[in-house]
Amino acid sequence: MSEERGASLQWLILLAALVTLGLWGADFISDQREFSDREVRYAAEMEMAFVKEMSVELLEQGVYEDLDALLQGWGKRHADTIELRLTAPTGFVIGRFKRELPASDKFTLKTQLRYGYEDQAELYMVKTLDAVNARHRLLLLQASGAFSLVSVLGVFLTYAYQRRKREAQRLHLLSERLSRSNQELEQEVQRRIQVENALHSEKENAEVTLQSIGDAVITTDNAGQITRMNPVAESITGWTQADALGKYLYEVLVLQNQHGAPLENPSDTLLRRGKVTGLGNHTVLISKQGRSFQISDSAAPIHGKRGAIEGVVLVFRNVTEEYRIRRALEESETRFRRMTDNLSEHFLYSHNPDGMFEYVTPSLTKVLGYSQQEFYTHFTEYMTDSPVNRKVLDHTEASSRGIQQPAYEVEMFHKDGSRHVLEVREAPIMDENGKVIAVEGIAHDITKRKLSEAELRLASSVFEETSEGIMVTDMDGVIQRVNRAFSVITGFSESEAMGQPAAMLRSGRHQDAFYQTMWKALKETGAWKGEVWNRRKDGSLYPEWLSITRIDERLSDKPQFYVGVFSDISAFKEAEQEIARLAFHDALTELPNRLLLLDRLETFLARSKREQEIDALLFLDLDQFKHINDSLGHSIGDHLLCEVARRLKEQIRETDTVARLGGDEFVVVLTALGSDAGTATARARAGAEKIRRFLGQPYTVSGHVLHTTPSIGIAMLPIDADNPEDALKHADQAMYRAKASGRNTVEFFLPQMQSSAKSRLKLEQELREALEKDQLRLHYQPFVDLNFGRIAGAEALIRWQHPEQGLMSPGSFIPMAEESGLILEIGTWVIKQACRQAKAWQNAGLPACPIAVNLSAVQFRHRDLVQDISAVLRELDLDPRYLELELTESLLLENIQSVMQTLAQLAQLGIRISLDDFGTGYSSLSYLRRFTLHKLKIDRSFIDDIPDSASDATMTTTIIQMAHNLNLWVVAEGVETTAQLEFLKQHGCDLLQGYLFSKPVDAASFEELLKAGKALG
Amino acid sequence: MRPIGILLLVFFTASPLSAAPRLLLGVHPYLDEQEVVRRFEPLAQYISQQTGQAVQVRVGKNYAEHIEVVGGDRVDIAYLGPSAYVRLLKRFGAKPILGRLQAAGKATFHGYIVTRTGSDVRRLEDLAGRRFAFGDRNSTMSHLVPRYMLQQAGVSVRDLASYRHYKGHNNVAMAVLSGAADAGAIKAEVLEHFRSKGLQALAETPEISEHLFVTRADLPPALVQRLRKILLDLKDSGRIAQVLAPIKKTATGIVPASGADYDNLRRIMQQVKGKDDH
Repeated sequence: MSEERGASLQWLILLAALVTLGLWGADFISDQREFSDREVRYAAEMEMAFVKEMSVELLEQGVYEDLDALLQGWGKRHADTIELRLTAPTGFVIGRFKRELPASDKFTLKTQLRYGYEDQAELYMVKTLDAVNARHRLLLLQASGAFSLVSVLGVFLTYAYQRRKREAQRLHLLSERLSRSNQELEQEVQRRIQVENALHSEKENAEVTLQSIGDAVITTDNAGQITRMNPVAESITGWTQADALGKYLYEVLVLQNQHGAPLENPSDTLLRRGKVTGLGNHTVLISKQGRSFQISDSAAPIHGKRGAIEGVVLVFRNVTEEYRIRRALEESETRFRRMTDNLSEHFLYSHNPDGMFEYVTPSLTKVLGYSQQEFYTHFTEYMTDSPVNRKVLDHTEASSRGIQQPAYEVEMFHKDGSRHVLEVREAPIMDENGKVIAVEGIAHDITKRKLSEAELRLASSVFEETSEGIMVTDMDGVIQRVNRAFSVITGFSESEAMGQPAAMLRSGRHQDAFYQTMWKALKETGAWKGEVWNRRKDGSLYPEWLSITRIDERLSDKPQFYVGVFSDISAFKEAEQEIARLAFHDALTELPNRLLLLDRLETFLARSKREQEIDALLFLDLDQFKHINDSLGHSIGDHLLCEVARRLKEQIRETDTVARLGGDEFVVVLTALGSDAGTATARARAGAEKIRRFLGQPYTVSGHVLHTTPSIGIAMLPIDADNPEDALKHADQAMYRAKASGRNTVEFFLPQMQSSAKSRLKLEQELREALEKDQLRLHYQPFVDLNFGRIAGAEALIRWQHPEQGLMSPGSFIPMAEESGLILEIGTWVIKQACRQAKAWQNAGLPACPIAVNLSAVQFRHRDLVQDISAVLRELDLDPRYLELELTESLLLENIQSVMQTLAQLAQLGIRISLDDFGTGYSSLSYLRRFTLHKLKIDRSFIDDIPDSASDATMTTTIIQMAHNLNLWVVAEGVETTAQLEFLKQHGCDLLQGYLFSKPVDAASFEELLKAGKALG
Repeated sequence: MRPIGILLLVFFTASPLSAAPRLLLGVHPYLDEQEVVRRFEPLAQYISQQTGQAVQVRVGKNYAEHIEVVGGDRVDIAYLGPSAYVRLLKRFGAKPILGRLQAAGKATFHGYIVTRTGSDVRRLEDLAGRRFAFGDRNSTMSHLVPRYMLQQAGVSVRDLASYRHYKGHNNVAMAVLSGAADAGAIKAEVLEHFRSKGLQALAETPEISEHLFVTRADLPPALVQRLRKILLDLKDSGRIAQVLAPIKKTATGIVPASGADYDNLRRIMQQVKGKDDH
């Protein structure tokens, strides 16, 4: 008996120690003390914040239905919640939970929710101040908050779990113990009653027994009135035996269940039923002084000698302490469960030494998607693949042999098929003999961490590998870290740079103000970017594009670092300068271009106005340059231009400027020619003449000796113009004048030139209108066939019947038409008019008369030429033989391939082509073979002097022979004398044209000639 | 040569005589799969009893897949929502119709565009510049038809201040009630449920034909005929509560239907698609 009690006491002490240890984990967070109202409110506020966050989430998703469920569920789970309500501003109650609780100790929390763009709702929460409930909540919140640090949680839970397991065993033992002690008590009571019966007369013995027994004993008579109680009973009930004697048992032994409801007295039950009875596990005894004790007891009848029940003996024991321990254990267990249930990245497990899993926390489902049952039965099948399987088994086996394993990582399959990386820690659990009885472990899903580690590695390699230099400094600008590109660009190695102020890179090219601005921007906005000149280790300077960003510590919001990212932009800078040079210089000659010239002119003009100094602007155009370009090719032309540029540069002073405007146009500005207009003009002329003569010297380019002369126009600045544009324009006009007066001369700008330029513009406008107003005419000059002595055709020549100036010849408006592009329209009109005329004469029954039309180069190059002509022919239904086209020689040389093609197409149409002005250009015989031609017109300059000029005569006869050899007809134009006629006739010229026969006449007059049909000459 | 050809022909065209083939009943996943199966099981059993052929319920992976499967004649019988039927028609052409559902004595249903009581929105036109709550994109009554009504009133979705698709009619109603939207579109029964909470009808939708049953295009006509009779006979069989109620609580039978019954919805959907497409 006493041995048993000793053992039980030992157990209790052990248990108490274990439980204290068990509670330690949670208790270091919060004392065992009661919670103040402030803390309870604080807990409720945290709860509120959480509910709010979830509600906003659901509102954002628009799932209002779920909100109601959320509030209901939350309210039900949190026993201190009286009301939880979410109301829209419209008054609509989106969700509500309400619990009927006595209305004491209430407090209310309210908060506004914002969701969507501008939507709102109000969350309303009523709680009770009940400290016990609130305490649970706080613990839970603190646990979820404070334990979020994974490692702490891991360690803690491992311990907690092991402890829990032991506690659970102990708990089991304890409850067994408790129930066993109940039975023991009953047995003992039975036994004592027997003893008592046996020693009925030996009251003293009984007294002794009662006094010495460790349990409380109360006896009653069969009416339930107390007859005796021992000291233990006295101490528990708070009654002395003297006071209690004769009282009814229920007066002394006030019993309640755990909810505070009164319980029937066991002795009453026994007296009523006549049976031994025990109390429930939660029986509370309220002492006389109002203290409560948790008791376990039993009652047995006292039988009289005749067997009748004479009374009741009630034996009970104060188990308050055991009860408290048990409750604490249960609480601890619940807490553990709640914590493990809430885990989302961990699960705990245990398996036996054979590797059979015995327990896993439900959080497994959150981590791997499988249910606990699936884990027990199908762990290896579902969650691992074979190499992993091996790894897990190896570890399991080692753990089972009692070997402490380091944590290891293993890849497992989630039920959804995704791979998760788990970090597993296992520990063998051994009994006192060192035998492994179980292995317990915790698995932590570190997939996310793994991913972020990979990201970190990536970031780090980007940091190292990027071609941009990166420098990290602390808040004082001391270098903390640099990357490889930093070293490449600056020449400083990492070790040289670390710990140095970033200012060591300063080049000294920037003022202090520059750095002040930079630091100001960094302090205010946390970022700066711009171009900085820095110094390399070797002392050389280089420009870099630098972008500095302040990196703030995530947790504290305190600025921590500056990160400077920069790239060497030396190459870029050089390119930039090159681009600027290209933009302002002519690529061919490297002279300033128009843009730069205009800019300089601005400066010159300002200065000359300010200093009363006169400048001269010389506008140069090379005579015949186009010819050189056309005949010898652009490459030769380009070389020539470069040579001209070189000569110009040689001729001027450093203060002067030479520019090329494009093509063969150059500008020279001679500066500071004096303040007197006369002197300055004389100097300008002298300078211009010098240039003219110098440029007029022969050039040798690629073996060709070339001649070109400049025509120079001069504008005096600021006399003739006060702005760059006018200066150029006026010098240009003067240059035109120089061209007009026979080239290779120098002309000054005169105010009247401007008016002539204006009149040119007016004329151009009038010419446009001439087409519409039908002021253009065709005149016709006959070709005469000497063999048959009759008119063999006509050349159509354009005239303009100007309303004021009368009939104008083509020389006075065709060049302008060519410049302005009007030539195309005019050309088309001419062809059409000529065809129309030819058709008209045919229809009038006159002799066949082909009409030749002059084609300008612009017209000939126009890609629609062939189509347009064939359309005209079709439209007028004219036989193509009646249209001839006259081309100039130079035109053939421009783009031989396409010219040949166009000529062939025209010939295919049936149109005849004649070559005009033959002998003036560079035409060679070999060229002529390559084109589809029909006629050659000998230039009138040869005809003029025959037969007197022997050379012209020879030339003419050679041309005639040559043309005949090529099966070409020969036409001589400008025949004015009978001597010419005779010579040409003698040398077999086929057709003649000239005043000797007829000047160009209007259509009506020509018609008369045709009608007359007379053989002219 | 010739006999062999005939033989082959017979071999490939003859249906096995051993057992009547199993019939597949395709249903869209308007609830989660198991729930759909549970609700259609009684009907499947009923058809099975009547035909002597096993009937198995097949739940589509999603609405689009369901239409695809029905269109491809991969199920024998199919249950379809009205808009799904119109889409089916457009993509795959007509299928034999067995009948349409009748609920509370009506083979058509309608919905409302609703506002809060006391709203200053009086006409559909007033919704320009307001916020609108639609239900699911595929929903006939909470999206397609009301969208058409808005269009007809000259309010395209672009004229709305904003619009949003909510999950289900209830959430649409609650969005309007809580002020997150000025108006929304819901079916009639949902309005009845929320009317007392402060919801009112702004406009009523046209009547749209109810859900219907079709068969695959190449089901033997005799079988189609038989299935049609089986379904239509349900009405007077006294087995509605057992067979149809699980599918729809208010079901009162299956009644004859033709493609023309869905013409108005077809026009509506064409309009909606034609104009302001998202």
